[in-house]
Amino acid sequence: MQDTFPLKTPTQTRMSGAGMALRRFYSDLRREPLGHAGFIVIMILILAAVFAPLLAPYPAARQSLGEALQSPSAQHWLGTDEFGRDILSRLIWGAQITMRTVLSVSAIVGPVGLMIGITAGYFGGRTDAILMRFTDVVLSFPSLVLALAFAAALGAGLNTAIIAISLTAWPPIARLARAEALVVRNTDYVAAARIYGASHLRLLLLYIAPMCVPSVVVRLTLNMATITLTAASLGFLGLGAQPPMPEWGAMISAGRRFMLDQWWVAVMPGFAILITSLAFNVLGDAMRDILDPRHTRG
Amino acid sequence: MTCISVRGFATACLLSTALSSPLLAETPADTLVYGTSLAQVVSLDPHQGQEATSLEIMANMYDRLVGSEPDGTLSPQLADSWEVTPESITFKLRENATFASGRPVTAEDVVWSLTRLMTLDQAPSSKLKPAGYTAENIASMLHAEDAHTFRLDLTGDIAGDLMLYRLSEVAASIIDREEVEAHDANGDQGNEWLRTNGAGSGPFTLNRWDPNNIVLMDARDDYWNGAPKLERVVMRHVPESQVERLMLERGDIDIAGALSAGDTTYFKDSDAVTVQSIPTGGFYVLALNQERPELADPKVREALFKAIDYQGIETAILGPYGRTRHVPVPVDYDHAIPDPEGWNYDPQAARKLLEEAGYSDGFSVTIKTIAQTPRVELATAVQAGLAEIGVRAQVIQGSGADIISAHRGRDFDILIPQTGAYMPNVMGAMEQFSSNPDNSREANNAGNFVWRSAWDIPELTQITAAALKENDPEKRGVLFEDMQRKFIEDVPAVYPMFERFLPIAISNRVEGYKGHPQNVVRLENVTKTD
Amino acid sequence: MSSDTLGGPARAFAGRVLQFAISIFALIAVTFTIGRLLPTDPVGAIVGELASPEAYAAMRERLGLDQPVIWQFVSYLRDLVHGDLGFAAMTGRPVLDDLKIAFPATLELATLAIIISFILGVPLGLAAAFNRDTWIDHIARIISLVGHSIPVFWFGIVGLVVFYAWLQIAGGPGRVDVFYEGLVPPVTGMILIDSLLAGETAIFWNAVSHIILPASMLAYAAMAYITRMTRAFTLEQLNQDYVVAARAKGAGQARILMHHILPNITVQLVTILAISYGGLLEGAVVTEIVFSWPGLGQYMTSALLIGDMNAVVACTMVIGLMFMTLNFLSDIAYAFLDPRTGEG
Repeated sequence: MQDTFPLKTPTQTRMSGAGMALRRFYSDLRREPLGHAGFIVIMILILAAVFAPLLAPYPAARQSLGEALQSPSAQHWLGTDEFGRDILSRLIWGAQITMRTVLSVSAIVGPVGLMIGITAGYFGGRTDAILMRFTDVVLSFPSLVLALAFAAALGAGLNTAIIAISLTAWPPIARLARAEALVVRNTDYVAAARIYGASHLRLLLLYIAPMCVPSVVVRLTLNMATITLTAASLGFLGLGAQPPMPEWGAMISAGRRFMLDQWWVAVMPGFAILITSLAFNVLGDAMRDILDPRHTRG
Repeated sequence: MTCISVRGFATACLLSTALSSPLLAETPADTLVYGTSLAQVVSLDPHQGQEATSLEIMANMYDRLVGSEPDGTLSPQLADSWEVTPESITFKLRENATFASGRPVTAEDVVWSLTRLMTLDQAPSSKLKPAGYTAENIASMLHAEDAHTFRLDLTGDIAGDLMLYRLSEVAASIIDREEVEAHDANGDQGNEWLRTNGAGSGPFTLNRWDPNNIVLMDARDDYWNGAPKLERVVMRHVPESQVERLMLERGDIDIAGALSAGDTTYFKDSDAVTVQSIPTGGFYVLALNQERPELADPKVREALFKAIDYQGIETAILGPYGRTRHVPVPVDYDHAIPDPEGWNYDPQAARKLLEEAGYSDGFSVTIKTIAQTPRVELATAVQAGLAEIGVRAQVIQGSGADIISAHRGRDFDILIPQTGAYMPNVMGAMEQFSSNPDNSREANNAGNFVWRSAWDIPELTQITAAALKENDPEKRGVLFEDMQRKFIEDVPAVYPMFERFLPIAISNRVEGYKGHPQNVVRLENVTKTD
Repeated sequence: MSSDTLGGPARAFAGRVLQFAISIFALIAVTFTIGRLLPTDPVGAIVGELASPEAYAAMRERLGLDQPVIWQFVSYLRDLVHGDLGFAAMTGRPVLDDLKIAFPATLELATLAIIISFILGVPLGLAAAFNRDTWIDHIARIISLVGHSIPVFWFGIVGLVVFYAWLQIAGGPGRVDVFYEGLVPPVTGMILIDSLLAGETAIFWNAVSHIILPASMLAYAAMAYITRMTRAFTLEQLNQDYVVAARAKGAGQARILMHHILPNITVQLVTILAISYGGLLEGAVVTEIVFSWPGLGQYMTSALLIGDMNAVVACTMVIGLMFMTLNFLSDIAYAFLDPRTGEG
């Protein structure tokens, strides 16, 4: 809740060109070993998702019932599941699903949260009161339970899961964006634009929103860890991506039935989720430290 | 459930276990602990509940006129003896049978119970409907000739000896009329109350039922056939197979139902546990909706049959749960015919058939299934098989409610239902596969298994009806074989893939437990050693 | 919340109460929408696979599903006021009766988990703060990061296999061994308390052996959060002038901790207690499945799987209410107990 921080250097760097800012950001990131590691893991996951057809040794759904439940070997590095499917391949293909979920939710939640937040912050008064009251209501909902109920109601599926998660994931972004907008709207730079007769919409979209983007991105990155976990929980309960899609949570759920004898079936996807979520967390932490030097690592 | 009954049980249990060390995990010798999934137990009213575990519970709370042994022979239960004529069956009721309330069981109770079965009109009433009984005609068919003589008129749709099997099922349980009528609420015939309570004459009474947690049954000392050897039966909800396996291994439970294929196989060589494989007489079925033009083409259907790796599925997925079989009659039944040649895994031939049918590029379908093991795995394996021959299938798993209503409403392409036999003969297993009197949508015969797939089979329906009412066993046998041959010839849209078995793992401490295909295992003679 | 609507504490309090009321109404509206406007067929679930169309229609009418939506909402509200949460197709009983059994089980699990997470999390957070940037701090940070990132259901499975199956030092799934099932008269519904009330120490210890594993697994995520927050609060205090001054006067670590840090962070800890507790209730939903714990989570997910929306909606409602109430209390505590933050 204390994410309000005054004008800060990154907003200025941003002005000097996105490329420069990114380079600066990356060199800062390299000084944060954990954050850097997280960044690399996320990059690997994105590459794995994009190049899954090339990287995965086997197709995700290719069954070979004769090779069911084999332990890790040279042929199947992480073993096979109950249908004789290669677990490593399924994890690689599953990265597509995880990334798609995470990015889709972020793509919905980011703009929605940003718009609600800056609208509230920019206009203030009654608009602010109404929007923030609404935000607080949604914020007070138990998100996982509500996502479960929604997913059950809308019928299981990946898209349902994305919508269900998005429905309750935007309020923190809106809160943050509002706090930022409250500060930004009083800067000289916005005041100047206003004097030149810029419309509200123009001010919001071209002057205020860009200033709020960096902290929103940080918050989104931290959120991605939660999204990964929530999506996996839905998959675990059978409410996410449907078989034979290699969704990690669903893989754990299926592998649970072999836990005592073929532990790798459930353990491997669990590690995939843990590592992904961990990577988002450390990357988010590092980004916050870099973009907001004042913020004590808490 | 009241606190008093729990306290009563607590005291009883404490007394009985005071001698043994309470820290031992082993179950007491007078208590049978049965681990299984209680998730589907929603009603213990025998005229309403129909799920396997509920049936096992009710089978012991209630008696029927006729009992049936696991091997299919019929035995006297409430009826001492009976006499079958082409027009009716007359039962002599035993005179010492009493309900748990203490009331004697009379012919009036029998008439009332069977009438209630039909007029309550819940799922179990479908057990008598094919025999020609309806809510309207049932009252006129049942006669209490005196307090202990009961006559059932036959409708002409079913032979008397086949009817006896119907009466041995839980659906035909005899209920304490006075007790239930005392709990009638708004004319529901006591259904609301009986869902969660008992009013039977069986060897056990219901002590407590916590949904999704536990069912406790206590032995009746005044049971007409002598007090059961066990003091109580505990059914424990253990949804996780692996956990259940650990519990059985440690002696926390005596019987494990609903184990996964792998966990059942685990006990194959155990000294302490025996695995029983109960034949259900039913099948895992591939239902193909004939309203989909692609699936209405027999060539396409045959192509699908050839796309499935039965052997692979049997070994990797079903294990003790299933055996490949494509005629809807278990191979060891009398008059069963062998599997048709050519309906085996042959993707090449399947692709060729698809080509001949004009679908060389394949097509897209959905496969719907209840989210339950092993059916989800089956669907996934079928999906992979179809993908190999170019048929793009998407698996949609859902709750029982979703999938069943989709099935009933013909709202599916491919669906994976399962069946069970109601008696151990061709008719008991196959009737649901071979009878569809009116295939029109308007008929809305959603209770009919074949109608749901929109498979129009007038000739087969006729043969089935003829076999059902045939009294001469020899002629009936010929008709039974005709049914199966015609079924194959028509290239079924309700295609049996695997015969269905229910494996249970039983501790060797338990003696006398024999699984029953119709889930009417009786526990009064089950014993446990120390 | 908004800083531009300044008013007296009374007004702020009224604002929060209003907010809370609006939230609850929104929750009711949302749960109603989830429960009624869906493709799931609750009727089919009850009457079963083979019922006739007439039986189907009769059940539909009995469930009130033939009424217009608005009317259904009104009667939903009316029923709620009367504590009537409908009829669970899954169990054939009123949902409220089921919840009376399930809720204490969840409460017991979550309460023990919150205790464990505080007992472990607060000292760890303090240690990390007092030893900033040493190996202790790094370990605390790693423990806390992993706790934030681990899928709790998976952790439960691994824990069950390691501690129950392999090491055999924890009780298995369920609340007590089957052997003890039903021996204790339910007074509070919480078996640890009930067994003590009944004087059954053997059952008590058996129950402890069963609850300790799921509670610990569940506690981990909350502990991660508590460690992180305790560390942050403590660091904030350590940088305050008065602490620096006390140090300069030669006060030892213990004295600083007892006299300066703890009194000042206690209020903050109380507020995060409420938030963590809400989170634990949610976490319990998936943990309970793994441990066959007969609480709200297992009840809700069983209901989800068979499409029993009455039960799903009621669970969402109960967990939502708990969650919101805790948030509300946390807000109140934060705003009115903490002398340093006038407005949050």
